[in-house]
Amino acid sequence: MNDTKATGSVISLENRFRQMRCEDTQLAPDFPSEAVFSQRDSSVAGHTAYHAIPKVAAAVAILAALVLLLLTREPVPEDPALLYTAIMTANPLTTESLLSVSSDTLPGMSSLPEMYETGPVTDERQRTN
Amino acid sequence: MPPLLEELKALHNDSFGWSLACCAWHRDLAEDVLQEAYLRVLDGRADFNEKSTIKTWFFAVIRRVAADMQRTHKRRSILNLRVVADTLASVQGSVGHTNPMIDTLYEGETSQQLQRALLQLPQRQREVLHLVFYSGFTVEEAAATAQITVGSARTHYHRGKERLLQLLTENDENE
Repeated sequence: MNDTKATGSVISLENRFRQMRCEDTQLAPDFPSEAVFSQRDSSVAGHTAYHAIPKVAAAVAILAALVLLLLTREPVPEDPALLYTAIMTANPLTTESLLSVSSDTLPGMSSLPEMYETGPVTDERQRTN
Repeated sequence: MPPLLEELKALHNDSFGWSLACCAWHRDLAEDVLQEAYLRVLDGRADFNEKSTIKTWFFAVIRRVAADMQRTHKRRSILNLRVVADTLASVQGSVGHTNPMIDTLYEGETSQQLQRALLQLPQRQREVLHLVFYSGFTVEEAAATAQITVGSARTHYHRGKERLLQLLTENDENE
């Protein structure tokens, strides 16, 4: 009994919607004419052709902004005291390293020590020194 | 005419009916929405991806356009505040209230009653019922068009149908 009533209700709904549909059909505007569509087609082609322009313009603008940023960027100011400390601590200078002079550094030095170190130390030489 | 436009032409009356439902039966707005939907198809903003039927896809386009346009109209036009007020008044079911735009839209009392009852339903229920009863969609197709899950569409369908029948019965008894 309930099923019959429910079915009846659904049919009643369907009828109401069908009536509404009939009335809407009478009110519907005409489908746009082919002329309108073809006119739009040509403008769509144009639209497609020029569609990429904003993207290219945006890319160029971003690139230009980056270049401008790089060019106008000022070097970071450095504290001279810090710079001095950094240089001085980078390669520690020891007496040993200062005294170790290789023959590559001073090629002529190889013969000099013999001249000065092998000779006897006299009073006269001490005075002249 | 391209095959897609041929299909759209065949669907034109149904599309207008759906557009009316999406615009709370305001004819001018519905015509604008349908026109904009056609334009979106033509200029490629709405692209048919062949994942659904053309009808389901195009109805989803109309629904989206209607939502966009109503948002814009609500922001821009004082006139549309009246439209919203009319709709709200209809939804609240104020006694003796008649929407002049709707009265001029439908001559038949049955359609007016149905339309007023539909406006008292939540939007999702109204959409699913309209798609199923008016456009002949399955619940699955209605779900795809309304962009909700099938389970949710079924719930909206059953609850909406019950409520709509109740409203129509109450209306009949009052008269």
